[in-house]
Amino acid sequence: MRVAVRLLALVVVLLASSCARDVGPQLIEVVDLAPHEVEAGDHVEVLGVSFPQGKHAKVTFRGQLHRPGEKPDTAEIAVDGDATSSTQIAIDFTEGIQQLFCGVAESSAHTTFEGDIEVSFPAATAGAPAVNATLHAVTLDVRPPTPRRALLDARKIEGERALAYVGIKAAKTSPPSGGIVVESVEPGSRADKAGIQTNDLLTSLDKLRLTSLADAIPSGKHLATFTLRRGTAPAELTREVPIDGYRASPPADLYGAAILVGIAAAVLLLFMAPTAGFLTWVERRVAGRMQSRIGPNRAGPQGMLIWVADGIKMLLKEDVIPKAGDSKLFRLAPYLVFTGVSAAFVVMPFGQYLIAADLDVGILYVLAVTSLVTIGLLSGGWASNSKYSLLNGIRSAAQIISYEVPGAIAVACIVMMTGSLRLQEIIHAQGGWPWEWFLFKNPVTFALFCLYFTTALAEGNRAPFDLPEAESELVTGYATEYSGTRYLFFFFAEWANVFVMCGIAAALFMGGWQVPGLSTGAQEAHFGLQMLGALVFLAKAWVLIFVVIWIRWTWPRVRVDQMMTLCWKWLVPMAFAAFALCAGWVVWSPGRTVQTAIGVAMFAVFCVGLARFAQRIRYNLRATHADVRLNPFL
Amino acid sequence: MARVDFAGVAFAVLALLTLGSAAIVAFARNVMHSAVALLGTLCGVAGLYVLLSADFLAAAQVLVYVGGTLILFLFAAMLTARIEHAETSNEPLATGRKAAAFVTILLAFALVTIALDTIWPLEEKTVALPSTAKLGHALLGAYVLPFELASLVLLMAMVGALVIARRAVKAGPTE
Repeated sequence: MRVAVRLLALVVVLLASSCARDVGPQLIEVVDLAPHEVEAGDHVEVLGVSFPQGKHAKVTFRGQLHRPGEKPDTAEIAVDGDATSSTQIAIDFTEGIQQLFCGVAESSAHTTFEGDIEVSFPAATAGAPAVNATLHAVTLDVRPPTPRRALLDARKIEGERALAYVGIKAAKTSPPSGGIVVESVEPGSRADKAGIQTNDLLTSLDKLRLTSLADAIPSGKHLATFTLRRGTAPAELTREVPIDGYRASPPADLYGAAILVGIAAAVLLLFMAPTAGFLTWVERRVAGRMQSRIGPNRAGPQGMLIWVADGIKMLLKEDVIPKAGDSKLFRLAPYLVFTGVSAAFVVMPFGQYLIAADLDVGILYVLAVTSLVTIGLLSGGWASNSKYSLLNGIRSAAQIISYEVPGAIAVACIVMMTGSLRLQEIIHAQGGWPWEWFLFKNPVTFALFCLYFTTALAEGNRAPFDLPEAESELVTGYATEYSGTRYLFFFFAEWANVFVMCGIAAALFMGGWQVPGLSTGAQEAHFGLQMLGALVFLAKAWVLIFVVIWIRWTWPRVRVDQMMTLCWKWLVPMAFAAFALCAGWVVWSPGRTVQTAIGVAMFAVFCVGLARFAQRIRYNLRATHADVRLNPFL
Repeated sequence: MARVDFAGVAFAVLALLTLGSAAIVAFARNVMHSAVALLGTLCGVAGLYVLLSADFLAAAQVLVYVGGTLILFLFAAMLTARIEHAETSNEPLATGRKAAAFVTILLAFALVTIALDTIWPLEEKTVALPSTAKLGHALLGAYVLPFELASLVLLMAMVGALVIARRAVKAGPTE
C-alpha cells in the first residue's frame, strides 16, 4: 500500500517536473506526505516537485490536532528538513517533534493532525523572496510514547464506556490496519438510530483515527462523528451520533474502587496489627540484649507472643477518662493517631502488585496523612487537662512542624531525580543491586537518606527525639492520663509508624521490592518471584527497623533547645544545599557507566566503613573483657 | 445489578462532613473543639477535590492545611492565656450581635447570588487522569512568573515575620 503511494507520487512528480521545466520560473510544488502514521524515530518524507537539492527546508504544519476526549487544538508546528533530492524532503521525526504533536509526558495522547503543510526554502541570495508552497488537507497520525499501563487501562475503560453509552459493543481485537470492529449494536440505541451496523469498521471518531479502544473517547459535548467502512466498499461513510448527557466519569469506577479499598483496608489492618505487635517484642528483646538483660522470654517460644498477652491485658484494664478533662477530644485523639498511621499503609509498595492503591500523588499522600497523627497527639495532650500532657502536646507540635521542613525537602530531591511522586515509579527508577539504589547513587543522596531518616525519627517521636514522651521527665507525656485500650491505640500507632517510616525509606532509597540480578519484567512474569520481591522489601524494612531500635537504646535523648538547633541551624540549611546539588546532578545526568562507577565506589566505601566499624567493636569487646553473649536466644 | 451512583453518595457524605464540621467550627463554645472540627471541614474539602479528580490538590490541601495551618491553630490556642476554663472558652459577645447577623446575612446573600448567577463550566475532558504532571508543566511553563512572584511574596512575609519576632525578643529584657 505504502509502496504504491510512493510510486504513484514518484510518477506524478516526474511528470510534473518534466512539465515544470518548460514553464520557466522555478516554483516548487508539494504533492504528498509519507508515511501518514508516524512515531518518534521515524523519517517523514515530503514529496514534491523541483526542490533545490541539498538545501535546508522549513516545513510548517498548520491545522487542528485531534486527541481523544479533548477539544481540537489549533497548532502551528515548524520542523526542519533537508531536501535529499529534487522530489523529497526528509524530516527526522524526533521525540521533540512528537511532543509538539502529542503533548508532554502524562498528558500525551494519540494525535491526528489535520490541516495544511507549508514547505519553504530560505532565499538563495539576499533580497530574493523565499520559495514556498502549501499542500492542503493533509492528515498525519502521530503515536505518543508508550503510556503507563494504568493510564492506558483508564483510557481503554473510558473508551469502552463511551462506546457502550451510544450502544456499540466493540470487538476485543482490532485489525492490523487500525480501526475498531463493531461486534454488535444495541437495538434502539443512539448508534442504531444513527445507522451504525454490526461488523462496521469504525475508522475515526471526531477526526481522530481509531487504533484501539483508548482512542474511542468523544471530544465534543453533543455530537460524536464516526467515519466507518462497511463491507468491501472503498468509500468511508460518516455517521453522527448524539451524545448529550455523556459526561466525564469520576476517577476510575468508584463503586469497584470502594469495595477494593475496603478489602485492602481489612488486609492491611490484619497485616499492621501483627507487625506492630511483633515489633514490640523485637524491640524489647534487642533492648534487653543491649543492656545485658534477657527481656521477655516467657509467653510463647522466646517470648514471641508477649504482644498478644500485652494486648489482652490492656483490653481488660479499666478505661479512665479524667473528669476535669475534655472527654470528647480525649476519646477522639487515639482514633486520629491510629487513622493517620494506618492510612499511610495504603500506598506502601510491598510488591509490584502488592499495593493497595498506587496513587499518582503517592509520597505526597504519605506526608499528608501522617500529619493527622500530630493533630491526635495535640488534642490528646490538651484534652487530658494535665500540665505534663499539655507540655508534650506543644513540644510535639513544635518538633513535627520543624522537622517536616528538611524531611519534605529530602523527599522532594528524590522526586526531582525520578520525576514522579508515584512510589512504584520511584522504585522502578532504582535497581536491584545496592549500587543502583538511590542510597548509593551519589554522596548527596546518601546524605539525603541520613536527613530523611533523622527527620522520620523526629516525626515518629522516636529516640533520640522522643521528647514528647520522655518517660523520665514528662511521665510519658501525652499518654499520662490514658489507660487500657486507648493507651494501647497510641502505642500501637507508634509501632506501626516505625514500620511505615522504614518501609517508605526502603522504597525511596533502597530499591523497594526489586530482587538483585532480575529485571522488573522477569520478576513480574513469575508469581514466586513477586513474592520473593515482597520478602526482599520486608527484609530491607526490618533492617532499618533494627537500626531505629539500636539508635533508641544507645543514644541519650536530646534537649529541646538541641533539637531545635539541630533542625533549624543544621538540617534545614543542609537540606537546601542538598536540593541545589541534586538539581545540579539532574542537569549533569551522567552516563550509565559513570553512574555505575560512582554507585559501586559509594557502596565499596560503605562496606569498608561497615567492616571497620565491626572491627572496632570486636576490639572494644576484647579490650574491656566485657561479659557479652552475642547469641540473641536465651 | 442496579447501578448505584456512587459518586453521588460520596458527594453527599463529603458535603455533609464539610458542612457539619463547619457548623461545629462556627457554633462550638470551646475554641479547641472549633479548631479540631476544622479538621473535618478541611478533609471534607480534600475529599471533594478527589471527586473532581484533582488528586494533587487534595493531597496538597491535607498537607498544607491539616499538617501546617491547623497544627499552628492548635498550637496558638494552647498557648492562649485567656482560656481559663476548659469547657467554655468562647463566650458569645453580648454586644454587636445585630451587626454580626447583618454582616452574615449580607455575605450569605452575596455568595448565594454569585453561586446561582455564575455559569459553571463543565470540564471539557471526559477522562479523569492524574493531574500532577499537568500542574507541574503549567506552573513551570505558562504560569512561571506568577508562581515565582508568589514564592517571592512568601519569602518576604517570612523575612518580615522574622524581623518582627527579633524585635520583640530584643525588647523583652528591658521591660
